[in-house]
Amino acid sequence: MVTMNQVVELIHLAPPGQLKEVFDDLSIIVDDKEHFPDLLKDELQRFNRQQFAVVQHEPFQDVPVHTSIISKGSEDREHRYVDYETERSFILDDTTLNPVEYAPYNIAEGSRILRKELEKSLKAYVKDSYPTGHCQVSVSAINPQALVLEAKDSLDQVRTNSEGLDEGLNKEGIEQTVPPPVQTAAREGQVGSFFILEIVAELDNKANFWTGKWQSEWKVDPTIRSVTGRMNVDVHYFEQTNVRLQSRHSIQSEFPLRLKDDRSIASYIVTRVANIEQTYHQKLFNTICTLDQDSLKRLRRVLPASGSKIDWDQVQSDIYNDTTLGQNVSQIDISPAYVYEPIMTQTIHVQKE
Amino acid sequence: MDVELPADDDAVLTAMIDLMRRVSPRESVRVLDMLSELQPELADDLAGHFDIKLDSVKDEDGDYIQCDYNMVGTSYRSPWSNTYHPAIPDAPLPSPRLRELELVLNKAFKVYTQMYFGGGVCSVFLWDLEEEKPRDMGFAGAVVITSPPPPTDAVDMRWDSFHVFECHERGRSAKYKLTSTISVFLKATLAPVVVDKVTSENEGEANLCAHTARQAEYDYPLTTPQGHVANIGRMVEDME
Repeated sequence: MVTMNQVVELIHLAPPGQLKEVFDDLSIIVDDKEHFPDLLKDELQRFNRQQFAVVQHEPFQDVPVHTSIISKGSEDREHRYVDYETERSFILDDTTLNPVEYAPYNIAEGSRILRKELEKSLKAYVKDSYPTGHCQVSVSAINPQALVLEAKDSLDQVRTNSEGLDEGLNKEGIEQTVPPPVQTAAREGQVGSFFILEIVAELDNKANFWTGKWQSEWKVDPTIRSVTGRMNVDVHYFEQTNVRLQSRHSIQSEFPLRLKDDRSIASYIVTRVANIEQTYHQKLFNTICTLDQDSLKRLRRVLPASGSKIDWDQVQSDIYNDTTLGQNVSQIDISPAYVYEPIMTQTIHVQKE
Repeated sequence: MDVELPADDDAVLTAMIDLMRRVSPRESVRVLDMLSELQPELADDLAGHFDIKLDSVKDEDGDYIQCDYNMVGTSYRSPWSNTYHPAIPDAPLPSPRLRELELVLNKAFKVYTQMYFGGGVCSVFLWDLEEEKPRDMGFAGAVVITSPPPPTDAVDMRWDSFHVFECHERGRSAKYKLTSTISVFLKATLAPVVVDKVTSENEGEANLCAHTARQAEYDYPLTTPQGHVANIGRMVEDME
């Protein structure tokens, strides 16, 4: 039985830039107009976070029109998102992507300078390499002890709040065992802030029947000098066809101990990220070429091993004339794939040019 | 085959087709099943637009394909034995003369898949069409092909194709109207590697898949009733 939840989850299958179309299709297909909008709204929240939805902000004080990225990295515990440019948090209308209810947001003093340096370097790189790119650097504070207390508190709350709702309890309980990714309570001097660098670039070329998207996320932990990242590519081509390329890649790296000041750390990390992304881009490009040219030919030959097309008249007359051959054909044990020695050489007749 | 749908159903079907064209071919069978369950009365119409679902099975008759074109209820007809599995009373069978052609075509396409795919499974299913002149033979058929499993884990790949046609004999020639749907799935797994002293790749993969549907008409001479074998063979080879 298909549940409404499964149906709304289909929005995650939307190709880049085609959420609206998929959303509209689902609204027509689904009979249950009562529960559907609410479920869809919840799912859109997940979708926007996973897909790094880009939100535009109006000018504020001396900051002009700018954007921020919706993600787990920029989400605080009250499901508000942070706009680092103006140091405000806001609530997102997940359907319209409009930010509302701004409130001041404090960035931990201890992480402020390094975050700014990372942002400066990352922006320069993204401007250079992604014509339609957006980026963001979020700060996340990890204090393991605080996290454990946090999780325990939350669990207690969940338990009392959702008494009798076994399903809700289990679900929430599991979620709580994973440390919340972002702590707004990042305070000066707190142990172990880490930084999340995010890049998203979407190209919408529906006029030429394709849309595509790049997404990458890098977690930088200065205390253990580690950089871990993942990159996603999704391209949809649809001129009288439906072609989809989806690729993901994850990486871990570290940076040297000798880097002391924030500026050189930031510059080193972003250079490192840029190198890794460039390498992945090239590697993906090569892989696709191999898939397209080499693998596809191994899957289905362009021509049989004989080098020419099949002589169908001969195949036809052989089968009609030789009933035993016909029976053999149906009994043939297929030889291991990709060995293109025709088994029935006696039935294959090459057309001579 | 085209059914007049009430305006609402029409809009729903249009939306389902649109959705199917947007989701990745890798997900399309799953989505097709979901949509069919959501709108059972439109399931057949929807399936008629997307020839994507097949299974290859092996039984005492040999390898053959299970798909919409040999299905009655939950039974499938083997193109080798011409019987349904599991058995089902009064299930439709092709007329004797069409059945003979069907069996020969299955043998001929065994040659074809061996030559082009080095194996795999191909099944041909035929069904009779009513013709205005009883002397002319009219029939329809489906040539369904799935590639063999790949030899290594490095690249996971599959080729599925459906060639569905109608044939009308006209004196010494035959007209074939062909609709072909080809699905290709390629997936490369990028194994973990150490890039340099401080950097290592954990895992990665690249997924490339495609659905393509094409239509074409072919006029071929037909001097003997057996000529269909070569004609249909050429037609499918040309299309693929």
